[in-house]
Amino acid sequence: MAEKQLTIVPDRKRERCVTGIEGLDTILNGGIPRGNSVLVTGSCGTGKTTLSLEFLVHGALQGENCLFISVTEASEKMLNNIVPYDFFEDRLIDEGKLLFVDMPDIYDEMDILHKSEFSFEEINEIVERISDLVEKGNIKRLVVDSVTSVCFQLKTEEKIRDFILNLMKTLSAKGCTSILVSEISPEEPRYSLYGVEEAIADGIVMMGNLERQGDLLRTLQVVKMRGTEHSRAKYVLDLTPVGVLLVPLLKGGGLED
Amino acid sequence: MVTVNELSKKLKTLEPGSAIALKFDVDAYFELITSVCDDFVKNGKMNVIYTTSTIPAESIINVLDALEIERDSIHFTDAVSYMTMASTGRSKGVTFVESPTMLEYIMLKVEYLLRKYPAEENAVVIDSINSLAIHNDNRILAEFLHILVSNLRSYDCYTLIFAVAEQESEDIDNILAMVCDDIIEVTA
Repeated sequence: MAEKQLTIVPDRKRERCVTGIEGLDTILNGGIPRGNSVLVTGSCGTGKTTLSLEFLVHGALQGENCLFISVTEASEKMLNNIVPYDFFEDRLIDEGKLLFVDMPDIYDEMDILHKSEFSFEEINEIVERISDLVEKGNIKRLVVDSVTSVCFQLKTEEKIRDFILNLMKTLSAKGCTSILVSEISPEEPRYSLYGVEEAIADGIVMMGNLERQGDLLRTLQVVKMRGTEHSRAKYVLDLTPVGVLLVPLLKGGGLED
Repeated sequence: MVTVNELSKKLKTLEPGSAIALKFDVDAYFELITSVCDDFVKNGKMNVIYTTSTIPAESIINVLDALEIERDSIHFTDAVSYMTMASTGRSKGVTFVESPTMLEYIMLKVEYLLRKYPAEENAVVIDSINSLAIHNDNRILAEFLHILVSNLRSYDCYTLIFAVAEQESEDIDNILAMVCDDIIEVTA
């Protein structure tokens, strides 16, 4: 059997996808390695959607084509509830730099909207349709919010693995850096609902609510990111009109986690 | 030691990025606020981010308004009103932090205001280390001031930390000595 030739790309040579979220880029040593698929995971109200959308807006401002696939709620409703960014420009949507697609529309086109469980063929078709959107739109940044909701209709671990693995492979091959939003309950001892997503993803950004003496702090921690050195410390974040801001979590007091 | 009337002259000699503790007699409190928010910033290029955990921002605003002090370039971070269940109505130029124990959010609001209102020069007032010390352990307070002051130095931003002379303690003096370039004693 012929041996496969491997190309090793040292850390310093990997092109970065600068998120534009200054604190996160600092944590990641310059940004997400281009083509990585990152699981942004956390319970509700931790800022996953806001962070992901800001990642796309900065990409669009830098001239990259960006796509947001909304699974759980209509994009229009989601946009109305998001923090109004000072740096947002309507032209990004008018010029097609920032696209929104609702996953139920894709399901509807495939005539599987009301199915409780998808087959392997249907899963492959979903990946193909997303791949087509990325290919035709020359999409460089993609967010799927949330991948947990897609997995809800896949049921088995095998199907979930198949879907996520294929999706990530396809996106990476196209040089598309992606964020897959994952929803977990606060008590969950792992980073994803099914446990499969976290093993396959190139990166895991954990967002949480930390209770400290009755105060509830929004936190962010990069648990894993292939292709770069990064901080693994916990940071506190604020969602503001100038974007997501991060500062280190102070360690001097007693912490309840 | 300087009188509150001489303070602004002294402050104007500071290098950008300086961190100064202002240890004042409690009688000089409102004069000190006036000196910092009016005389020190009169060059028109400076923004002041005033973080209060002592009295609500609204009270300070009322004082400044009564004295007819222009406050377009003064932005407040109020970490006391929520905790005291005081009104947090949408006062112009005030951002709120839920509690003085949420020190990270004080840093985040300062960062936000620095980005939101860019200016040639910036000064951040911490009013006061004593009120923060009521609600926070000294270790976390020292860590907070160390990170905040280091960050503000990178912006060439002045940091002015209020300390009430009547409430001084060895622990607070040690923290101030660690993070500040100078401690100025201010009398009425």
